[in-house]
Amino acid sequence: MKTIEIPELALVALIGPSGSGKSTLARRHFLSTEVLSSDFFRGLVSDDENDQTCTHDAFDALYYMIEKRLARGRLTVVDASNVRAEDRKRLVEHARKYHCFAVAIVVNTPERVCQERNRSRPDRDFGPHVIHRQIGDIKRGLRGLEREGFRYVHILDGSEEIEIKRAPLWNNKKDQTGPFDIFGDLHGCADELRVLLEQTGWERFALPDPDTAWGDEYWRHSAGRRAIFLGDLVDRGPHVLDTVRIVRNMVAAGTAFCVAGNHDVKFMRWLRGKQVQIKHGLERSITEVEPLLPEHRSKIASSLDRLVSHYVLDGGKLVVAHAGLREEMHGRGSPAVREFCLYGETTGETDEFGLPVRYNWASEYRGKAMVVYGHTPVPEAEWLNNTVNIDTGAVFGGKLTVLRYPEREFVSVAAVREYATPVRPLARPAPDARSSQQMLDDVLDLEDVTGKRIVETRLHRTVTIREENSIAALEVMSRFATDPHWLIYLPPTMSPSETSSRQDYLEYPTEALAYFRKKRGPEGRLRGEAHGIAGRSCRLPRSQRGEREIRCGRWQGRCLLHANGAAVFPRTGRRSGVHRASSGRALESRLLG
Amino acid sequence: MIVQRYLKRRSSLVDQAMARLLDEENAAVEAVESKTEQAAVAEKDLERPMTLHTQRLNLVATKLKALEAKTILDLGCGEGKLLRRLLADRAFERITGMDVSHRSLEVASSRLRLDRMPERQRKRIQLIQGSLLYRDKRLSGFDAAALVEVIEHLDRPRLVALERVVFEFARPRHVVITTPNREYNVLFPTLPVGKMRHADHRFEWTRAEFAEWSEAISTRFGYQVGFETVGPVDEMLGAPSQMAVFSLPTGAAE
Repeated sequence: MKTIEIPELALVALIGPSGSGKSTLARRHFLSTEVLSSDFFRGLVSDDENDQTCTHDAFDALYYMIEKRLARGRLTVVDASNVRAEDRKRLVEHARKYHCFAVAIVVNTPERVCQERNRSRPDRDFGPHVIHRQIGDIKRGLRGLEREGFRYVHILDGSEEIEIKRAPLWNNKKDQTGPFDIFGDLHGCADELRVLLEQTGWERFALPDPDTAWGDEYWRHSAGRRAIFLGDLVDRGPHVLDTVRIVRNMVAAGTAFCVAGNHDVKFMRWLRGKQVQIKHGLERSITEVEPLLPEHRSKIASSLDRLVSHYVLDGGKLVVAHAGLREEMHGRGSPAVREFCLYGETTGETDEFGLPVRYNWASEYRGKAMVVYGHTPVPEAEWLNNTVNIDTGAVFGGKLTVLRYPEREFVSVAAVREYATPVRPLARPAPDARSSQQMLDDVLDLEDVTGKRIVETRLHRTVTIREENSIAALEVMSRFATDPHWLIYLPPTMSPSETSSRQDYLEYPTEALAYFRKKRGPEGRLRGEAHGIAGRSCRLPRSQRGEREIRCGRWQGRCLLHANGAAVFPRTGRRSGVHRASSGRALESRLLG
Repeated sequence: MIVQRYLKRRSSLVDQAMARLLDEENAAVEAVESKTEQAAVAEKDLERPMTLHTQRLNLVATKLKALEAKTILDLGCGEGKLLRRLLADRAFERITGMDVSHRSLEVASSRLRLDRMPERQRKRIQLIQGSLLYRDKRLSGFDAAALVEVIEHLDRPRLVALERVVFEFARPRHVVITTPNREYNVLFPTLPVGKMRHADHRFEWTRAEFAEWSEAISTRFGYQVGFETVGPVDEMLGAPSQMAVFSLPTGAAE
């Protein structure tokens, strides 16, 4: 029995001449829905599985299906002869596009057997020369398969019994549910790391039989928390070796995970004797390892080389990568994914400091998984669309930050001093500046509201918004309704105060205010539950997140109360609130006329 | 059958809700008419002696051609009057009409006879529903955008969003914007003093106000701006409508 191991997510190309037994193999080892057979697609488009004139259309449909499946992250097996390099090239391109591994399984059944099988099948009416040519093609291509882009190549002789084992991808740590302490870029700041570990409940231990290259220092959390390091352990800072040792020992002891950073990769390449430019703090790492024995150096190199570019943890709810990761790349493996994890995405331009301009992938992120990353130093860790950059520039005299997961708390320790000067100064946020999320939300995106939508709610079932309703809503919101920024929540139609004693009014401002004063004290400041008037009342469920607060606004002549969202939404111009009738129309002009 | 009836009722519900909103809008400014269509007719009546809207559309089309724009966005295309003019000129290779009102787009589609248009023609034009208050990927990559009598239909505070959507995100090389000149209103004999021309207008600007706004956004987004008049010019009060033409300096990144 021969065991073949393939990644759990891959595009598997079966390669073999007609009659080699590809379909039998596919049937035996894969789900019928995982197998896309060219014969089947010929049948789908032409009602005849052997109609060679429809090959083009059949493959169009087959490639379409490949794309749909790979986009959804499903293992896909292509059962076609795949004998020519140009056919395989398209498969590899598709695998790359969806960041999946391409796997080749060559079924190298002897020509005699293939010919015999085809003779016994009345529907295969092509001559023996076809198989002969196919086998020739395969032989010529065999050695080049890896160069063509197939990450794994398995060659079978068509007769042996095999077992196919599906291996989880390296980045798949979904079974690890935490809780985690996620540390930003260290850059040799071992002192700050020790302080922060201690502050967050970690204890220092000595490894029982330490390796001389690594020393014995490792840390363990009393409550069983695991640490995650976001890479860039080396360069720039004062204690590169200590940092690498601590992280390595914690990973080895099973108390931590670590992903690769661009500096780690570059240092590893230097250690292996590759030509790299010695700048951006690499010289600090080099000075530290210079006195080491060559075998110690190579141990460091292999330890850095083993770092995976990203991890998907906690059932897919958490993704960590040095420079972040787009949703479609989560849990995938391809050169493009690794590149993104290490360097992020750049626009190709450079800024006034000569640094590459980064494309802010997080502003477009809409994924469910929380993405925690570092790479670009920021003054404060800040949430944006469920992503957060926690590299708060420790080595640049900022601070070292840890994110506690799932608590979503930040703990930081200030750097002892500035160990390196950043090329681009760290911007200090103005005290009243808006958050990145607020700035991003300043302009809404059509893609978030258009078409048929399914909204998941926290307390209830999902709500489906039909396309015709979203079409109508777009018009209403654009033409008649209040600016969505002010719609902190949708108020119910009835206000909490009693019906007005005046004729013609359901509610009247003075009475409503009196009601709230009675209920809430004289300053009219309301928390949790708010106010409302004239058919448009407001209510904040107590369970709303802490920062949401609604203040009972100023009394302005004949106007109604302000729902002052300034604490949550940016003030635009001099307007600090809006007041609308239940249709959404502005009230001032006539309501109390 | 049941489903059909159900759907029928739904769409009429939407229509009803819409009609109610429009009604209120009109009541608010005490317009005599009860529907925006009629309000539009009223505006047209008002301006009829000068066939102002026709002049305006012709002027915009000529301007777009003079700018050598080949791909055009008609933002707030309504029922497609400008689109029809642009389609008639082969110099415009790709024309996209966007409106927030689905109903207007349906009318535009049938007026332009899109369903019967020969394929080659059909490929030049596209109608999409969208809102100028939302960033929209579909709007990038055009030579020019036209906003003919659109901005005054938005509440003033929400223009901020439009400015960013058009000038920052869509960022066409040229933007042509027209809007009424409020100063001219006194010359319309049937328009009561202090009233706006159209029941749905949220504001009407003087020449100075329009110029101030236009210059502010051209500075902010790196455009150059020039102004033109639309319609007969009164010595004191200017023309009934005003046009601003924004252009990115040649060589600037799009």
